[in-house]
Amino acid sequence: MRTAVFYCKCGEMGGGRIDLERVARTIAALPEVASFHALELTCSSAGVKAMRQLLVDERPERVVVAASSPRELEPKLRRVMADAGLNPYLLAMTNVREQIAWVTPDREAATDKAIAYVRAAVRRAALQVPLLPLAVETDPRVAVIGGGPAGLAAALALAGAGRDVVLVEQGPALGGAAVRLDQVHPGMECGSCLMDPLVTGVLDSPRIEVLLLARLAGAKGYLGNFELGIARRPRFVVAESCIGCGDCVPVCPAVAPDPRLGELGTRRAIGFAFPGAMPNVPVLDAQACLRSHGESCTLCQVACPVPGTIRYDDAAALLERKVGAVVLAVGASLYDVGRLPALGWGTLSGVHTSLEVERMLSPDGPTAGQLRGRLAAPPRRIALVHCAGAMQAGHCDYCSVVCCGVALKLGLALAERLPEATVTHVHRELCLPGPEDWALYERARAHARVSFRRYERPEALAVSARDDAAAELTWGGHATERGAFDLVVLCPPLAPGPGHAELARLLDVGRDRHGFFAPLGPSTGHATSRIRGVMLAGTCQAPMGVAASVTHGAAAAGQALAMAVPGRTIEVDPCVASVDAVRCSGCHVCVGVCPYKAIAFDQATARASVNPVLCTGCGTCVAACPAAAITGAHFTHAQLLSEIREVLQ
Amino acid sequence: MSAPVEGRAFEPRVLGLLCTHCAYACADNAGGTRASVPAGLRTIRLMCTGRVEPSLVLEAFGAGADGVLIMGCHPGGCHYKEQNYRAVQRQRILLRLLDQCGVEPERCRFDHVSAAESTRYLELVDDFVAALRRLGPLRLERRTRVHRPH
Ligand SMILES: Cc1cc2nc3c(=O)[nH]c(=O)nc-3n(C[C@H](O)[C@H](O)[C@H](O)COP(=O)(O)OP(=O)(O)OC[C@H]3O[C@@H](n4cnc5c(N)ncnc54)[C@H](O)[C@@H]3O)c2cc1C
Ligand code: SF4
Ligand code: SF4
Repeated sequence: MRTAVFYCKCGEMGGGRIDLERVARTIAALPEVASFHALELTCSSAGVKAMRQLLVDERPERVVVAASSPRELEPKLRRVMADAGLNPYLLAMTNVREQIAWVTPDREAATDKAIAYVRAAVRRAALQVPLLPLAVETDPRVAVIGGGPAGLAAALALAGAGRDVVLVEQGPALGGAAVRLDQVHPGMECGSCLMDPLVTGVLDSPRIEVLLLARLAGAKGYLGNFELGIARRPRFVVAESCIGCGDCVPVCPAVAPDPRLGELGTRRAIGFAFPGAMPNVPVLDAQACLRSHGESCTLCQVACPVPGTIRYDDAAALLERKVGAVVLAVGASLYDVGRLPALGWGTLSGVHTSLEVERMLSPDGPTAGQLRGRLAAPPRRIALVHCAGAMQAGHCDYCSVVCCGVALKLGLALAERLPEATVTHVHRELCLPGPEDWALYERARAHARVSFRRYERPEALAVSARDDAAAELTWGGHATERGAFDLVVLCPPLAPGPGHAELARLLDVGRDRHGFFAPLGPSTGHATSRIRGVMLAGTCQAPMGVAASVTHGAAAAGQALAMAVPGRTIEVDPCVASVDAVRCSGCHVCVGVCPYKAIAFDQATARASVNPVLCTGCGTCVAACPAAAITGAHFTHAQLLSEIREVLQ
Repeated sequence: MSAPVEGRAFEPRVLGLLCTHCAYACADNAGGTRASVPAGLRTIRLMCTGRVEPSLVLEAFGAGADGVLIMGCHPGGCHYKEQNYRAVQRQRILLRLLDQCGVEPERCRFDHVSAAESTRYLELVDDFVAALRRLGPLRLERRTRVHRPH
């Protein structure tokens, strides 16, 4: 084995204490070693050039570099190897600087140790084999799951970059939670005005396929090659021919109370998701429709001016789409205040959530901008309860950042809309994370009819019935306080949606301890999940406002663009595990330990096999296999045992 | 080589099995501070402590180590999801195995360090080396009998 050893003097420069002469003598005498070169600075461009030339001239079979940490230098030196026409995986590195020269005061001991490390690398190199990186074709299409601000922004950015996008939205309309807001802080635009460019941009884009009433039903594959199963519910109205006249709606006799959170009043079996919903196409609720209850009603079909648009035979479908990357943008829900029975939501007529008030205030909302809901008369004494369910063990054990701003915004809107009314903010902590939130707070404080009371213990918060008012609110600050109110607005935090667990399971993305999708790192990589090829955007990752959600969506799109590049093959690091089918006993152990679902089990042959694209080379399965059937390339048993024996010399 | 020389203090020979992203990076950073690390510590870089299997540790004891220090990321900080938990579980089983082979279980430790904890890394190494000094050199007349896989 002709091995060339390169020894970098960088360790000596920082005050290292290795006797280079003795190292050179000892190493050069090893039978495997053909040449020993002491280089000035391997990492410098001059060093790299010198090394490359020596490699070209000597054409060694193995290369050892003793220098600084391989964590930084090894990728660079592997490129030098490839440049010189050698397989990059025939290089073995050892770190004689940080791990020896700089930390060993005794020159003799340091030299002994350096000799042991370099010899270990020489012996290890002899056991290394050439490895070829795997190349996988990338599918440039991207799926975006969720059609709120984050998902829309992601879809538009991707389409703008020339990508084909499939947008999967579970509801009948686009725009997410933001589209139904009365005013969106800080710009105070109406929600649907704000969302309009995004929604129409997506609907108009020839590159974006919008699948509504659709949910992810299955997923397999990996970065560059995902196969998604998408379950679509029937709409019973053909979007392509519907002209959005709404003639079908008033004729429908199936009128029922609207069960949707935030939608007060009644709805018919056929109707628009909400006024102004885009696309402007009604949807028929099969459960409410009289036809599902044995009647033969066809009133909506008769009223519809475009024949063939209302189709009672529309059926559910399972669609398949292939994509290279997935953006998860499924948003969050308001925490269900029904789980805080002491707060009286659903039992006391004067208690509403922030979302319900938002809908009542909206001129296009179910009450046409009137504060009605379950209230008897326009309220004169209004309380806004901040943090309803937030920062509370057993409910949401975190601050959801946006809700104080929402409460302040609603308080001001109510005070302005109702000139007789007083508004009391019953708050715990006040979260005012940006300059605009502070300005909003200042405005609220300056308002003559807006006041602030602080509570400390969420457990002491209670709303009860009272004769002379809709509700009595009790809270505990320094002392227990109570007040009579006509309207109590509960402002709950954003919480993971009900579908998060299922999506996490389907795509194998992790969730944090609150149930939001876990990002790659706690402080960096918030737009990517820990699964390569799956991006995260918006409030499904953490609570945030519209502006941040839109930015997050664009960031996720950028990550998707960088990962799934058309025409590019994905080079996969060949340092991965592989199963020897002959030794494999079919025990299944490896399948369970792999954190990346990289190991498949073939029932027919009863053998496991590793998908090299999914494998990250962590080596866990290698260590776990009871039959020693799995090899971790570049970290084989033989290589590690030899390294262990040699460094301990 | 690790046998104590008459009159000189016993310098334990220690194998450090370090995961690249946290522990090895931490050792690099410790080097950057020019701290003093016992010359008897010999480190090996792995991608993840999940790769550590009993035979690697047994080999180390067979090859002259007085102690083996496995270091991985903090719980939750693993770069390969939760593989360091598996490594911890496996090390617990390994300790029983060592006992049966005549190696004091105290000679094999598992610790968590992040890349930024070079001071803690140095303390952990010093503490382990001190413990090994108290235990004395590993006397393994059975050393040759330690299972040596293919
Ligand atoms: C009452 C209230 C007031 C607010 N006021 C403000 C404000 O003034 N200013 C501000 O900046 N922010 C405000 N917000 C927050 C704002 O609504 C969010 O920041 C924003 O909507 C988040 O965008 P998103 O795309 O992440 O999620 P969302 O808007 O929640 O959109 C997610 C979309 O994904 C869909 N979806 C969910 N699950 C699935 C699935 N499994 N498959 C397919 N599709 C799915 C949903 O139907 C939805 O359309 C308010 C929120 C509420 C509730
Ligand atoms: S068919 Fe169903 S949806 Fe259409 S009008 Fe009749 S009840 Fe309403
Ligand atoms: S090395 Fe790690 S990632 Fe690769 S197959 Fe084995 S357990 Fe999975």
